[in-house]
Amino acid sequence: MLGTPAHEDGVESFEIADESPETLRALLEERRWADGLPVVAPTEERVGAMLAAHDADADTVLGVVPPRDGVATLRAVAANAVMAGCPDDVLPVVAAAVRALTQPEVNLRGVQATTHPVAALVIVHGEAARTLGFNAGTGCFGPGTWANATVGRAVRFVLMHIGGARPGDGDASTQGQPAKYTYCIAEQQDDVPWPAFDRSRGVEAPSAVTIFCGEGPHNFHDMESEEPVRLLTKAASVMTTLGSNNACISQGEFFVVLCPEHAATIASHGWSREDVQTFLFEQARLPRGTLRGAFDNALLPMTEEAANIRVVIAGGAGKHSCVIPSWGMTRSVTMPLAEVGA
Amino acid sequence: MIRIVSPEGSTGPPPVGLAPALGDLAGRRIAVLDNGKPNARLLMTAIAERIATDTGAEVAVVTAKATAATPAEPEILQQLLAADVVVTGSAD
Repeated sequence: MLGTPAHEDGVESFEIADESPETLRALLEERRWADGLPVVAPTEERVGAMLAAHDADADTVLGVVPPRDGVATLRAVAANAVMAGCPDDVLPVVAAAVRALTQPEVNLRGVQATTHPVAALVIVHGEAARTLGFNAGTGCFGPGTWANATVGRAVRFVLMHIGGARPGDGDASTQGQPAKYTYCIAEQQDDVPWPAFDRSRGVEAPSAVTIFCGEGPHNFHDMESEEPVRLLTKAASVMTTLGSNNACISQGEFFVVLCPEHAATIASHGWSREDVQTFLFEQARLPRGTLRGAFDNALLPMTEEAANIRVVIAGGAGKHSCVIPSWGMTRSVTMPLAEVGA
Repeated sequence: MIRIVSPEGSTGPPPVGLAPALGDLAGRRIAVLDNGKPNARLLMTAIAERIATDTGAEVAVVTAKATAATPAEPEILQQLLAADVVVTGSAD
């Protein structure tokens, strides 16, 4: 064994010769840690510094993560955040996402263990999105922004390490998906026509975090529409994907992430977020015969109520938006971002 | 040498373990818990009936969870208390 495990005050740690890429890779492979990409060594000094930056009590429990039922203490979460490359100041965002994911309505045991390729999306709202450097603009779902990339990766590490959801052992996902590496964006706040998403869910804190367990983003493209109906008919077309879990689980939510230009086009005709939800609920329908194999073709909605269609604005210049279907038996959660200090 | 903090943390109290295996099933009651996967009830009821025929047990309860994606509801678990053995756990 490369790392020599030791327990002090109930904390497991490993002694290794150095933190060279070669030594770390050998330890990661032996312990089945991480995602196959290089990591930052979660040394006692780095983890301690991250906790100290927030005057945080390392033993604070954020939740219990199935299927391993690992206890997500701030120390363990910080170790994952360090591994993922997080700067010290984003620890409260990772902590809020872990608190949100361990709420009962998320049904995290199912999310973790299913054969479906579900991944946990983190959306950061409010002041923290600006001050901590999250990308709500161009390429927000993609690479290139430290905060987005590392926070999403840290959350995946928590699910893998504390929760024990490793591919084939705790995570039965048939094919997996790229969003299981990292999946974090911020909500666009500049020049947007509607109240912030977290406000629309009744969260009034300066900053908040939403988690949603679903598929990867499904793009829809509309360059030409100057009014909402044609534009959102394309969104509805993407929502009526017969193979998604939304097609067979009526309680499933959708996240519709509109780019700012699409949102502006829609709002310029006086439409609110609720109008978008209502339109999509009415429009995103399939014949009963197609959905359920029945013999009549009455149109059935893809979700049981309009409120299940969650509308967020994110992205930069251009006319591409996306729909994120749900795993199904899970609910999104929006929680205030709290300081993690004692 | 450097010391690495485990990213796994600790686990809470272990869940309730499996009951000890019953040596002789004669006269025992078997329950089938359909976990919601396709054909689970058909498959597991056939297995339970075969066990009953071979051992002198009886199939006393056949019930189902609401969906495969969530744990069994308390009232379903209550039904299983009427049995000595439960057959469950079909996958895709």
